[in-house]
Amino acid sequence: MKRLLQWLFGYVRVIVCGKQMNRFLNLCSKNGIRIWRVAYEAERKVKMNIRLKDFYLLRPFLRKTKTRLRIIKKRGFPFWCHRHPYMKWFLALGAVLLVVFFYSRTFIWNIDIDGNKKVSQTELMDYLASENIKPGIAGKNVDCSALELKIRQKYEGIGWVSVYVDQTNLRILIKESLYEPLDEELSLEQEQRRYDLVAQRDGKIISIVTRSGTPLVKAGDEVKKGQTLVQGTYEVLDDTGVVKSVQMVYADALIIAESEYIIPFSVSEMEILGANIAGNYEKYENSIFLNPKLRQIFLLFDENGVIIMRKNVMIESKEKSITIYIHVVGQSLMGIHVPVEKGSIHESE
Amino acid sequence: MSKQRIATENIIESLELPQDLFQGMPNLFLTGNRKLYISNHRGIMSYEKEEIIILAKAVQIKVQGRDLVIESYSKDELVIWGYISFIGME
Repeated sequence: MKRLLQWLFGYVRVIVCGKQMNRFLNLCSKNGIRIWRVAYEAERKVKMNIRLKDFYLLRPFLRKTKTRLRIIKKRGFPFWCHRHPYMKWFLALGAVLLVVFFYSRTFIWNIDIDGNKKVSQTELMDYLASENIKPGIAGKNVDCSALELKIRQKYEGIGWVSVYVDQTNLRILIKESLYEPLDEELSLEQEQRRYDLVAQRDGKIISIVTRSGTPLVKAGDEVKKGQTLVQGTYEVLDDTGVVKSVQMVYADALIIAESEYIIPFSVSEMEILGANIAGNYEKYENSIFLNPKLRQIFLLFDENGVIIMRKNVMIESKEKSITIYIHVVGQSLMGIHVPVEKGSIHESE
Repeated sequence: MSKQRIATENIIESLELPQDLFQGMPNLFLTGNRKLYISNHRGIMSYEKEEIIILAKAVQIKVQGRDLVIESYSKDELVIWGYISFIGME
């Protein structure tokens, strides 16, 4: 530490010679001039270190004792600065960067929310933003305990919340209570309603994998538009196999069906379409194979003839319209969800 | 030594007061033969190659040795480094 200070203020190593050299040393120390590393050089001649600011005070003593002084080394920060003038800009830049760094540490750059299950992250973030707490605010502007209270009052499901500032992060820990607020309207609606999966168009079921609900059709069945494919009910049986109760569920299934699409296009228009889709097609007597190598291309049109999906396609052209046989995959294509009132049984054809 | 001075010394000694504070006596701390710390000194009397004589109240401290360097020299303390072979008082 002492050495560092010496270096910071700068010091010089000098040779002092003269008959009254001892007196000079004593004068120095009496007048509060610190000298160190006094080494014997020759008769009445010593080397010693003196602080830079003391150096200019030596003149009267030198004159009084008739000693002479010569500088042999200049050490320390002031001399170093003098030698490297550009360095001061470099150091200034470093200082500015340090200031900017520590200034930026006083802000909150990140908000961490942990422990929330029912209340979503974005919902909480929006709420915090409405309370004027968002990344980039000064840390001292955050009143943690007030915020805790506000969050608890706003969300009833949150039983315990802890807000604290951790460096540049605002951490919000949440424990949600097990008690669920009774929302009668919502639960009533859920009880009364079930969702069936209903065919969107005519077709032939190729495969059906039910995820929830009771399937009413099986693979190989011909279905018509509006027919219920999967019923949104789940029967709970007791030990004897008698239906005990029926639960209402949201029907969900993966259904692959073959459906007939009639698209009012001429062959020449189709050719253009095919070329646009596949970039490569072959025309036979009554059909067009897009991508002739694989003979497998997904092509799906909606009611207006706009291509929305590609599938296995076989196209037969008639006079003015083209019939395309398409394997349709997925509930969203084959079926739609229809809400059903409680008690009523959806009509199936 | 005057009678009064002896009386003062006696008082200080009987009260067990530190002599360096009340009489301005020098304090010497010697670490092995390498380092000598002197406080309450009154300056350097002579500085030769292998001998330093330091003034203090009532005594002169003669330090002999080789490669003697005054590591620090300020108003109230003086530190000598080197290979000290002899310390004497006059």
